[in-house]
Amino acid sequence: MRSAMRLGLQALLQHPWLLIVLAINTALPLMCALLIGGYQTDMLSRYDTVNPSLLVIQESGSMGEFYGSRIPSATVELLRARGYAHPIPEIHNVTGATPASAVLLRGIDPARYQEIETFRLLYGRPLNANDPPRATMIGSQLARNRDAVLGGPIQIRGREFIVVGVFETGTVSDFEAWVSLRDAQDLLGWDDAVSIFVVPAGGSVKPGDELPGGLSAVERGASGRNLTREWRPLFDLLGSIAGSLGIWSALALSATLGRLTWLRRRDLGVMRVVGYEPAALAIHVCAQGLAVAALATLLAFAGASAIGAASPLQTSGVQVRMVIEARTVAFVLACALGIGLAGSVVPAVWLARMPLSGLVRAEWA
Amino acid sequence: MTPLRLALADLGFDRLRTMLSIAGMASVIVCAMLLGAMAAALSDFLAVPSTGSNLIILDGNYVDPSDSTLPDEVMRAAEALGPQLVSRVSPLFFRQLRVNDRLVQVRAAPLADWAGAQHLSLQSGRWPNIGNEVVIGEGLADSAGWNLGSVLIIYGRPMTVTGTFRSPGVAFAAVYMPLESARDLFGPDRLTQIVTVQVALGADGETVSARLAADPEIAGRFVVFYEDTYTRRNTELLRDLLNLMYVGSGLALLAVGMGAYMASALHLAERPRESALLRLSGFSVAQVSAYLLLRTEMLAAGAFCIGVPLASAWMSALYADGPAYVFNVPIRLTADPNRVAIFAALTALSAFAGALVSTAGLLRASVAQGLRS
Repeated sequence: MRSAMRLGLQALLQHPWLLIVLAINTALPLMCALLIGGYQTDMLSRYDTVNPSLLVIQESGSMGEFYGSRIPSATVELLRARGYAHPIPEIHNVTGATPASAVLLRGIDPARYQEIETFRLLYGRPLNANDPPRATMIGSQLARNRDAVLGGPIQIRGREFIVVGVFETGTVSDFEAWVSLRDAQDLLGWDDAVSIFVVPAGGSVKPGDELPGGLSAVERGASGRNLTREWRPLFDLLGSIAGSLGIWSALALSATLGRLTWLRRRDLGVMRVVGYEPAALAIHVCAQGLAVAALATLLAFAGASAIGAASPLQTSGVQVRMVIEARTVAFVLACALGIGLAGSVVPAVWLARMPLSGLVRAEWA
Repeated sequence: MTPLRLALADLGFDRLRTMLSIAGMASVIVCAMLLGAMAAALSDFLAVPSTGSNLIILDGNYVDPSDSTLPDEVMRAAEALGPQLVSRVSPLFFRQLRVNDRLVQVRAAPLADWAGAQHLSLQSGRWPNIGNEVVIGEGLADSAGWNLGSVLIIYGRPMTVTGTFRSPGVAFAAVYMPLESARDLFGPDRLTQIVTVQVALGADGETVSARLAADPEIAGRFVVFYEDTYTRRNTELLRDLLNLMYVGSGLALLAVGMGAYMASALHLAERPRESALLRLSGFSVAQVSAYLLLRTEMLAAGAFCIGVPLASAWMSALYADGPAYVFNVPIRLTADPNRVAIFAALTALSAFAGALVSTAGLLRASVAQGLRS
């Protein structure tokens, strides 16, 4: 078996350019799958982070955890009347003159935000109630995009804030600048309005409930989940194209390996004469298909990494990057294996079923 | 025998091999066309139809206007320019809201401004009355499957669709209601996010824009844009997507060249002696090369003739239930004749390049080498 495989690979290597071109052809659908999976992974891990233990009270139908909700602070009385003793206010807004210069702003209650938000502090310290005005702690992605450093300034809506800490959550919050609620209200000119109130789930208000004043309750993270839904049609469309590319790649591989096998039919006949079983000849062809698939996989990873690094999707202060995780790798490897085997199976079966006399006679046909 | 007749005879000799080669190349043509059509759909959207010299005033500090509010003084400043410069000033209420589980733009303006300043034209049904009635853009009707009589829950209140409208730009996927209805539904505060200024016929847009930008009620607080400019500014994400689509389509076209290379290379590997015999029987190297190139171009043409209908059928199948919408942008793939012609040229070029590379070896090899193989 091993020698049959080795002979198959040697035969393939006699056509090095054909091998490379075939591998590139097979790499295209794999690269598409990697890119689609990579972007989807980053998007879902950053945006689709619903926390069912918390409820967000916001303007009905809005994306209050990003923008679009502005409610009076007096809403807190309504919530207290519903049994919530300590609703936590937040402001969420996308500030900036252009989408390219946009910053996700979050106004927080410095005394209480750590009750509802977990983060890993990379540098500095958390924002606290004793901080002077114009202090901010910023997400790691924002720090990277803006080259912001601890103790240094960062421009938010044209005003200078001092970075007191850099945090990481692994979610879209990594693109945010957190400032005190008062600073955010001053910055936006909102007086005492806020975007949302956060309350614990399990009380008198349920997700989906409508409240007086055009308010409604949703699970914490619902805005992000809704945003990812807007992307789904695009990924579905791209996925169907990548799938078709994969099917046709397998067909092209099958046709090419079939023709290579036909070219070498006399050699293969001789192998049968010297004692190789028909199954060994099938493995001979499968080895070629899998070798092409293996090379294609390497090329796909290299290509996807290059394109992914050069082409982040960005809008309004956030980026979606290509992130390769184990599940995507496993999926792409399975696809590569599938294309390799599917491309080999027809010529391999044909070869295994071809009588010895047919193989040898064909040389003189 | 001419290279053309030789190529035809050769392709007809082994039909199975010819079909396999064509099938392989057709596959990548289908994918290139699908990706190219997607890029074209995005590109068409980004080339927003001109809304003339309309100007808009908004708060430049918000990326999404939903959170901003323009005071009445801004409208008055625009109106003060007079009818020689400004024919109409229209306030626009703007929100991005989830309506019946879809994220859509909800807009409101005085009914009298819809046709002029807002560029809406009624496509079906009727304009809404003040109260619980709205009209929806044709894009939204397509994508969401909402029709006349559909009930939308907007801001917690049921609103009935009375008509569909057509509009350039992103408004084609919006919900419109009279400004009075918005006041009743959302309250009297924060009712104006954008002020649309229709420049008078014969007036210079640049002059009007400069006058507005210099007005004390506007300068330093709000910004003045041409409506088209603002729409394009907000399509950064789509441009990123567009670039990715172009890369994908380019790669697929590259694969056409690779398919051509494979077809020629395999042909040469299968028939080295026949190629040498051709030269021995009086065919020049140039004629043999021409025969091989013609043969590959014919394969590419065959693949193209199969690939285009396949791609068209695929596109039709994808939109059996209407176009896909991404952030309210319709991704409607079509096999536009002009684009098909461009793809035909690119396919021919790519196939030519692939065949040229693989036949280059033939030009270097001697007849004796060919015969020995």
